[in-house]
Amino acid sequence: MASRTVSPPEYPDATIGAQLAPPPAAPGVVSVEGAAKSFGDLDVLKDVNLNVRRGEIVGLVGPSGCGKTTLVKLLTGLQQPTDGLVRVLDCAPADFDTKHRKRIGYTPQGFFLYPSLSVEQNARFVAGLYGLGWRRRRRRTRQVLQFLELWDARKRLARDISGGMQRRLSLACALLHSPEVLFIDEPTAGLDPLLRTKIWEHLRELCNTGCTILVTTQYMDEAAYCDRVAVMRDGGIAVIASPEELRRKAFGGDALDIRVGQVERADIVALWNLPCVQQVEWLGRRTLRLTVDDTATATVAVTDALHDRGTELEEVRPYNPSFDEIFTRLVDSDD
Amino acid sequence: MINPARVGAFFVKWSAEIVRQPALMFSLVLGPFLVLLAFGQGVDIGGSRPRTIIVRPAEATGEMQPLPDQLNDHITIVGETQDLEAARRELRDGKVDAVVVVPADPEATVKTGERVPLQVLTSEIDPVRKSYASAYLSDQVARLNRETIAKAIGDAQASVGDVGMHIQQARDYVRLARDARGDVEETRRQVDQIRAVVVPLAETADRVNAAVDGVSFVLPGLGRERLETDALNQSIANLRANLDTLDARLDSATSETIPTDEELAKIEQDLARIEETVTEAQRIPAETLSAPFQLRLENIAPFVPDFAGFYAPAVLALLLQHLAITLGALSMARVRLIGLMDLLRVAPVKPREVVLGNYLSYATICVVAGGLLVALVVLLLDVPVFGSWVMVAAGLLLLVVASLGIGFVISLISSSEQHAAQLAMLILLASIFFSGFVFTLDRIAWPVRALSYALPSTYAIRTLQDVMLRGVLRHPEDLAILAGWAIVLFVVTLALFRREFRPR
Repeated sequence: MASRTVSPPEYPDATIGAQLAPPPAAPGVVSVEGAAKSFGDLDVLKDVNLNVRRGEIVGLVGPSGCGKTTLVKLLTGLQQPTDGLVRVLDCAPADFDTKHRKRIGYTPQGFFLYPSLSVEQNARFVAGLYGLGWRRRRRRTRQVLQFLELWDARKRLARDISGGMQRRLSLACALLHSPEVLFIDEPTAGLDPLLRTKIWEHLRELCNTGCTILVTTQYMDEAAYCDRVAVMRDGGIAVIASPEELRRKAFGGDALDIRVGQVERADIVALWNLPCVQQVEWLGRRTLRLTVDDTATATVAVTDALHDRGTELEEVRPYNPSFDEIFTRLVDSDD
Repeated sequence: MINPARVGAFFVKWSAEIVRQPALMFSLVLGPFLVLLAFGQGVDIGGSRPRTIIVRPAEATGEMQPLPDQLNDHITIVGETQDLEAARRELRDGKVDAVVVVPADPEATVKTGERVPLQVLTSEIDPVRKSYASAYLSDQVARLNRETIAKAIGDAQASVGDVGMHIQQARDYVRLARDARGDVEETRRQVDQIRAVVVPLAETADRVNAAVDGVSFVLPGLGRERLETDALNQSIANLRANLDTLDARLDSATSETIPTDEELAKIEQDLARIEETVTEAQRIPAETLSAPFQLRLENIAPFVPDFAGFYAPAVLALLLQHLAITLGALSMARVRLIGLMDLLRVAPVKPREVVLGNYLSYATICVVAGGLLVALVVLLLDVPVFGSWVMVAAGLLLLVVASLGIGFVISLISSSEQHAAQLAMLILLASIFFSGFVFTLDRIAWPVRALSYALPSTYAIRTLQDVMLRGVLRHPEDLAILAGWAIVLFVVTLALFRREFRPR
């Protein structure tokens, strides 16, 4: 595994927004082992295990109240775990010193900046909190606002810009000091799909420059933008995997939809007997959904099998389920 | 180690907010000044002139005793009636502020040995105004009594004006008696003439006695006058006794040696003593006898300001304290409200840098506002600064820093912006009552006075009033105590902020 520099990435003008090759994965940026958090009798997090490698985007996905924000607060040192071990950049967040804090960035939920200050003034204020000197503050503010397409709106008051711009401003404030690890809580909440897509594009660009990102979202379909997705449920991580793996886990393999002239019982038995088919699901009089090991191999085998039986095959195509469906299946299977 | 960039971030942020809100600066400086100006121009500390109805009972006899001029200066007589109940209803309905009931027959009452009640009705729920009215009316009644006594004494003194003439007549008769020596009948006639003069002299002596008795009842210290009237009575009694003796000798006498020079000399001596005593009794003016003590107040203060001028330093201190407390109290509540606190806790900024940054920002704006206010007060309200400007600046700076500490503590212990604003208002209310603004500290009893000493404005008001209006810092310990409060509150703020920053 290639070694990487640990100094905070600085994004020169030329590289801002540039598509770089994803950095090789490396362990140890974020490590959570058996973490739990309780507030009185209320167990918000239970036995959470998570490992985030350097340079990847990990999404914490789950419904409201499942513990995503609490987990982020444990990782940023805002809260302490009741039990278990939490480490970020080889240090327990509760023990972070100034040097550690300079290496992480955090965007809380909602808009948290001063509405009566301009976009640029808010950014400079946060840059000041991170100890950036006057000249570097000016330079970084310009770079980051340009990167997030806010430079033209720099003179506008924060209260006068759109919700999407406010979210990007919040994100900008977390990037000014070039953090190694970025924790972003619900960056797309309440935004329309176009703006959500834009935000994720920016996150991907950031990731490409070497930043490790842990992001929470309640939109299941946003899991597709992540390198890995941790599905949270009832204070725990139900499953963590790449989006593709997640899909396969939800269905037990790839999904293949076929449409025929008329579904006969013998056809179903024939398909079921194919070695590459794990499950046959009857969706309607003419439609079946098959769970298969591999879409390419299974397409040939299914076509041959139906042809041999003389059944008219009208269409065969891979089924790409939405992450809402994947999440539902995962939760149902967990129940 | 403190990073200037992180501390300065707060200052720059706050400056940017101020620049963007010129109306805020306007309300911070000009608003309080206009309040002070309106207070000085519009509030009459001397009190209003209560609308008064005079009730003159139907059975009232004689002339109505005129009200003292001073009372007339302070009330507005809106009507006169004979119906006390109607006047009471007017008072109850708030149509008038007071009802004065004229005594029915004051002379008859006095003659029975009773004091004359001068009834005044009010319907006052304000304890301060009630106390003021009570004290003021008592003073007016005392003044009325004094004027009554002075009039009685004046009348008595006027009545003894004829004594000189009677004495002169008596002396003439003595001379004629001397000339008629040997003529018993003529001598007896002259003695009878002298005796006739003694009657009005005795009546005058009685009137002087009555007047002096009255004065002595009200003013027991008038011993000298009492002795003089005793001497007058004694002289008259002696004169009568000597005339009786002469009469008795004339009845039995045959000798022409009656009256002797010695007998006539005794009578002349009696007349001289009476004349001397009466002259002495007339010498002291009636006003002096009725009111022998006169207040002579000497104020050694270098300057007596008007009400606005006197209250200006105190209002300045109160306003600055409230401004600093409110800004401080709302600052962290606002940070919490918008969610910035989490960002601060994650950022590499230290609690002491946040606290210092906020102190620097808010102290700057408060000191600038305070300086502008002082300038306006001095230039436009003509409030002087007799003492050191450095002391004024030190007092304001320490007041601002101590008050900011209170504000930050409030902001860190309150649960919301509304809660913080409420606490700031409570402190303002306590400051108005207990910091020496309305009541001086010696009128506030322990343990409530402890609250006074807990308020920065208590020390600032005293310091500013002394330095600005007296020209001296009479309580230098006040500045030290303010500095002590400022330090203690800074430490408490820092401790609370550290607690706020700890992971939960």
